[in-house]
Amino acid sequence: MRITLQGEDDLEQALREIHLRASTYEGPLMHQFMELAKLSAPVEPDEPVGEELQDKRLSSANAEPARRNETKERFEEALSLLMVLAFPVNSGTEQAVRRELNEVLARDQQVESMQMRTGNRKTSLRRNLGRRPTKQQIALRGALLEFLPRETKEDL
Amino acid sequence: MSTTPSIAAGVKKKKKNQPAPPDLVKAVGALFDIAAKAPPPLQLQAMARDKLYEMLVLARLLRVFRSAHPKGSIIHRPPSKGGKASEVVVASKPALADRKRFSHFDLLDATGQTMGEAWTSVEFESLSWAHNGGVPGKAPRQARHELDVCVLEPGAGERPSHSQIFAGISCKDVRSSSKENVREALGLRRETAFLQPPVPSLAPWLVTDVPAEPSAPILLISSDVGVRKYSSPVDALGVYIRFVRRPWEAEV
Repeated sequence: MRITLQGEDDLEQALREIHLRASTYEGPLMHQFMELAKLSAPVEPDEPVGEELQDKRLSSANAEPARRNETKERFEEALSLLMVLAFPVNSGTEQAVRRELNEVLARDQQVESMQMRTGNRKTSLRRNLGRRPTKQQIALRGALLEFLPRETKEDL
Repeated sequence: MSTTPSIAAGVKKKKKNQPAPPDLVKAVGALFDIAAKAPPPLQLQAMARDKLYEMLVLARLLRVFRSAHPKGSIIHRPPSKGGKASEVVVASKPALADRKRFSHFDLLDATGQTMGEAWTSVEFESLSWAHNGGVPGKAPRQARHELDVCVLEPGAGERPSHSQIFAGISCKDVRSSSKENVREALGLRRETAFLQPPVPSLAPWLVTDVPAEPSAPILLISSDVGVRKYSSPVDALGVYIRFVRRPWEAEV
């Protein structure tokens, strides 16, 4: 699946859609969706003061790119949260994390399971995660991932 | 005759005249449908989810060490009481650095010298406790703070003091305000060291210089992409912000 952008205001429209739907959501994840509605809400630019006002007028040519950049950042934040809500960690995530861990360990040290200990009771992380997404959902996720930034330069 | 069909037809007609929403809007709508149907996690699921993010951060931390010390090694030390190498056991909540009950990882350089121990969910005794003349190893709950992932001095005791921390990490798997998380990381900074001009770090493979004494870097690692905007100026205080997203691509 591939998502093609049709115009410059696609991100803005998508952000509006997220805001609209998050604002009207009613259900058990109310708190999270309220956070999402906040993140995707239209913002009023701060009023410049004093000399800044003068500078701002002079640099009005930069206003449009700055606005677009700001929209992109807000869209990324909202999409990032929406992705987390739509795709809770699952046994596939556990496998991916364990694989990363095993990459830095010697062959005779390979980890087969990760357990949480509470008192004397051990609980497997794998057994207590959400359902794996369907193939169709994975395709959608893959396509939307293109709109999210990669990680930090430091790779941590 | 019901009026419903004509209303439906009217809506359909109206839609026909409107331009089709862009692909991105449709995709976001489909994503929303999935999210809106997601059940709230049970308590154990929520704990497992947060713990898994800490394990991801731990794996990344070990990877950074491995790149800086390609000839060094990382050894998993399972719980000494009944543990096995193939099973990592971590605390579900803030805990002691208890070698009998929990796993940790030794970080060795090329000569085999231990440069630190990587742990998860360890409580340390705060700087304010030491500064207040508190007896080491006796800090009450209010003078102990948790580090989700940390590197401790080799051989540190069950109740490490702030001076035995080589690096501390606060992990946040989104869902809350990033700014609050930054303030929490600043609190950890305050309780682990005094501010001073930058000096070589206690974990130079992670952050070269740190403006603190002891010079342990404090990191805030979040899966919220918005956290990146807080990278500066808090780095001037020895708090480093990193964005680590879920390993989506690697999930199958």
